[in-house]
Amino acid sequence: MQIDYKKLVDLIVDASGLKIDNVEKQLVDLIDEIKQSLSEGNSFQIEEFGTFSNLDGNMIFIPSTKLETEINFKYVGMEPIDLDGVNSSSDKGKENPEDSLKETDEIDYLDILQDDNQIEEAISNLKVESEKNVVYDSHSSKSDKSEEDEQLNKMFEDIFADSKKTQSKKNSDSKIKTSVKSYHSQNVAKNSKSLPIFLWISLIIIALSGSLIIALDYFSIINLPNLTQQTSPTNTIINESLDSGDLQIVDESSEEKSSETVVEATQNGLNNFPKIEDQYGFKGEFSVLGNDGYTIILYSLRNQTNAISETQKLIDAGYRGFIIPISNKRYGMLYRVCLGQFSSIDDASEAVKDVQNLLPKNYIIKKIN
Amino acid sequence: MTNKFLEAFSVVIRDQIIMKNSVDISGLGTFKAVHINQKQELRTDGSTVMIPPKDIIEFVAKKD
Repeated sequence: MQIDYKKLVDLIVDASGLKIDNVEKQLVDLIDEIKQSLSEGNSFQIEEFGTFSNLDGNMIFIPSTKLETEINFKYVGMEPIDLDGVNSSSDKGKENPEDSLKETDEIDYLDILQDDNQIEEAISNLKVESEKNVVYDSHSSKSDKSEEDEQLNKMFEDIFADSKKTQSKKNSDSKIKTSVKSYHSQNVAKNSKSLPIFLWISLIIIALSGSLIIALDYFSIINLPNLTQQTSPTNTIINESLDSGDLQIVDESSEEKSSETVVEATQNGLNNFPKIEDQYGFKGEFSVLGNDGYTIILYSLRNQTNAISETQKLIDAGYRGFIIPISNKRYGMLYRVCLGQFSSIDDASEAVKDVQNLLPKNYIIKKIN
Repeated sequence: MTNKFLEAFSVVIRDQIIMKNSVDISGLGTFKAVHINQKQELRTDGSTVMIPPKDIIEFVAKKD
């Protein structure tokens, strides 16, 4: 890749932290100074970089020692190796016990020193042979060692080369094992992913069914004791008749069989204990004698306290209000807030006309007992 | 020219040479990285030596 002038400026800006204008100006100044120095016959040196000088009218650059070292950091420690120990062309006839340690297919360097191409071939062969022939040892300098030491080193290298081969084989085996293990673990992981999905589906189904049951109980479609709380009277008015404003006459036969008790003011705070004064009436106090008649049921509430408060409101307004508690299989215990005691249904319906604005939309006229 | 600039200049060119990139400075010349393979050398005493490989900076000046 070639770095052009602009790219060079950007790199210098990144390295120095200076502004682009400043860098460009300084670069131009540098180039001008170098040219001027060389034209005057002088050299221009940049510290720890190199020297620009003139040689026969041509500009040359001599890098500094530090720069050369830095560029060749990859080859640090590599020293020239004496090849005389390898050359065996003149000593082939003699048998040395040390020669038995050498490889038989050694390259004779003396014969191929003539041509550079042959040298390169020899070097490439040398690389193929690798550890069996000359190897650059970057960690020690062998120039001062004797031939015996070099041969011993070669012996050790051969031994270690063999051990490395076996180790590489072991590593490859271990790699195969690890790859098999990883494949197996991946399969297990894949299979395990399907289980949580099944569990999630079952959890969702359970949650939905539970919420459905609670909703049904809340809206009084089903009755689950102690599951839902009792709410305010405006929310728990249970309308036994749906048509608003219509008189609903409920016969006893159509009602569910339930035990009804005659009402008395059982709650403390209510002062309307029954008096034998007026048997029937819309106003006044409650009379036990009027329990054989009919009444207007305004509300059927679950909360006794709310029923008492509603009844009290009627009493405070001067009307004959009372409560009939009734147990219901569907709704549990209900407290009916009743208005007036009448001898007949007709009397009750006549009374309703006078107080239409007081009555809720759904009210019923019913026999008290 | 400040020392900071010269230092950055040296560092940038050095790094590019190490990365085997050529640096072209218009008006001056081109710095290139050249690799010298390992080679054998015959010394004066008759011994043969294997010279290790190395990289060098080659500068080609721009002709005006």
